[in-house]
Amino acid sequence: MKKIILLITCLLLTGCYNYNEIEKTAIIDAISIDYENNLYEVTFEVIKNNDLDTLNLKAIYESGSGSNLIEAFYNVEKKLDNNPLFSHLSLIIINDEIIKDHFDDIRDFILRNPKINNNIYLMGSFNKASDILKNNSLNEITSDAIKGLINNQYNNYVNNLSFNKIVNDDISNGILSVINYLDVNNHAYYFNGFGIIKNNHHFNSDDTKIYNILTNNVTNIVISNNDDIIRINKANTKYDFKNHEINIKLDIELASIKNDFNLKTFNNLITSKITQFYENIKKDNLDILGINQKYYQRYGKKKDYFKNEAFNINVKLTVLKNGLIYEVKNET
Amino acid sequence: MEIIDIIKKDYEQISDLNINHYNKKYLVYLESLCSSDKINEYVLKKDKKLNGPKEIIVNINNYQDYLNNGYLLIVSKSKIIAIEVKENNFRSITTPETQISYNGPKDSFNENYLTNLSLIKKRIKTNELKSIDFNLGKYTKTLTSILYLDNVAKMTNVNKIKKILANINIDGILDASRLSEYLKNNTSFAPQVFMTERPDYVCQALLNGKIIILVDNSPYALILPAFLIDFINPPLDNYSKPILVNSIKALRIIAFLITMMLPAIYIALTNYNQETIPLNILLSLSTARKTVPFPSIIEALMMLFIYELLRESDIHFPKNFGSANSILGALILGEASVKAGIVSPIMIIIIAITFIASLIFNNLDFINAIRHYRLLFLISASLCGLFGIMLTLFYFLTKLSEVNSLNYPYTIPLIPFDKAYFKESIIKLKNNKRSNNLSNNLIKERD
Repeated sequence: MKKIILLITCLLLTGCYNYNEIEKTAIIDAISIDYENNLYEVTFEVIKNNDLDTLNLKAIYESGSGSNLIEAFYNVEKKLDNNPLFSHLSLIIINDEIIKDHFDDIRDFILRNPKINNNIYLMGSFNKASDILKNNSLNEITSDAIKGLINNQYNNYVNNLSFNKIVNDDISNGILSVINYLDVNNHAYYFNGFGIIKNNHHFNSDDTKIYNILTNNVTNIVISNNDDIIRINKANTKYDFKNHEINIKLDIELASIKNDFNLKTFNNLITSKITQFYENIKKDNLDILGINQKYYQRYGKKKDYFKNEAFNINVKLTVLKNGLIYEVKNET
Repeated sequence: MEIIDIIKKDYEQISDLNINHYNKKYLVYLESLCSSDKINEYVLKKDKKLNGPKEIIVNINNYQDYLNNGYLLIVSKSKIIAIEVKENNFRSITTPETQISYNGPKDSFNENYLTNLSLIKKRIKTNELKSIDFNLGKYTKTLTSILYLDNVAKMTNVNKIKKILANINIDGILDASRLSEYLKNNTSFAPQVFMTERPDYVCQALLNGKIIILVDNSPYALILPAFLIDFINPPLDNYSKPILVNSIKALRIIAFLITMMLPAIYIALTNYNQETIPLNILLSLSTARKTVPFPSIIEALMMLFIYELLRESDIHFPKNFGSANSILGALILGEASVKAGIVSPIMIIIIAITFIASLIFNNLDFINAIRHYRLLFLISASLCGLFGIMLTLFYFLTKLSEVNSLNYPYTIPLIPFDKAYFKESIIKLKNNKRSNNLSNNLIKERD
């Protein structure tokens, strides 16, 4: 008898604390966070389906501000007509100010909030993040438009898309974390280069391509000189640390070329671009390639290899031979 | 040794063997397989010396047994002679009503004990099919028989059942299901005795080493021991190719899980663990539930109640009015209730899938057991979500491990693992051995 009473008591007194009817939830798909005038401004994108017969999704936006993130979130949640559901959150856009100076607040808030799903995309914005969020195009849901942008492999972005990866790089030694920047032009979203977390430095689209080559994230990169445009099919970059030098060896496979293509010209072009990129980041000691981390992983020693040691870039270009009918030269 | 002694020895413990002695001649026949009319017509009338039906001399102490069993008593001053003139007032052999097999035989048991025995003996033609008879019930004196194959079944199992039946002290046994209450040994919901109306199932069970109980006036035979897998995968798959049958066996196991847990999983996911549902589905569920005034648990309980009412009415209502029943059910459970805003369309789909899955099982005791656990899962899901379902699943598994049938664990052939029975029940594979739990004679097929 005692066991039955205990069982009934356990069941009736302990359950239901997180009971939430499905029709009484406000599903939040994307959030933007801005920092202006010492205030955090948070905007939620809430997905609704107003049509009972078909799935006709619409987004509504609610904003609120506060001196810290908790207050800002609370002020927005008050305005919603249902309980917020963050488990389907897929995108957070933060503005440049937060990326430079207040990233730790965001990281702390999201990581320690059990309601927010950590498997989200994190993007930056030069302009106000809420303007990016609200400036939706034909899709009418910003997060869907941006997911479409990511799924299109012809778009040029660095592979640090997810919040977990960005935070992981940020807290790791020997590497600086990078974040993509979004922009909008006539209701069309596009990637506008990338930046470094807790740093003022920005990189443009061309730098994004070089960064992707150097970090083995090549998918359909197009490089042009004045006369020719080539598409890079595959690239394999290896880092070697010998004789107090960083040797970077690149094996790049080209996909599309035209007749009388001169391999040497493009070899020189790509080498010069990579060299220039590397010199730029070395000048300001921006180890976004994780050179120090790679050194530590190989030799187990912490050393500022990136800053102090010279580098040598060796590019080997090959052409994808399947179906090749054009002549390929290798002359200076 | 005389021939008749040899016959008596070979056929000892076979209750329907009749040996009639007429003027130095013996008439030997199995009462279940032979027609007494034909015996009278073709044999007794032709032989002048053996003329007439058998006369039994009874005394004043036991004449009631004969009078109550269809015997004519010729009473003279000094003696009572009983002659069997029993009326054949039982149903003819019909097709099975509850356990239908497309490829297998189409005969089923009826209420007559001898008919049922003849259906078994038609298939198992050996003197090793032994029977132990009891007359159970103070007033009904129902003929109850334990059947087993002598060198196949384990005598320990036979003796256990014999002991249980010998200790029954009751006013009357009217049906085999009443007897099954005495053969269960704990208060679990799960049925521990398999009831069947098919003689081919019974013969299959006998050949596997199981023990059968036939009860007079009952169209069902009891098979012991019975395991959980027997109710999920009954032996009606023996008439198709293994490769075709195995997918159906897997389907039934999945149907068992669906019918028990699907409403609970739906309640848990939509009320507690919404993060597991993809966004588009979540939005359409949310929209569908907007017009419903009840919480989803109340909606689920309501729909389950209505479906149970429909099922009960379907069982008990005369078949002639069946079409009106279907129309009513369709109205209540169809678009009318959705348009009225009482239930959401997804709930109707969930409950309909649950019940379609339960229709795969034809054992009423098993269906009733599933119903209890379905309700438990539903209540725990409404209180604690997926965690509640896990708790109830642990409880279910714990209770299942307590159940045993004739002191064999209910979870055979998985736990403990029984390879031969596994190949018969869970997945059909070539199997030439019997289960060592049921028989000491392990070899079934000889090359």
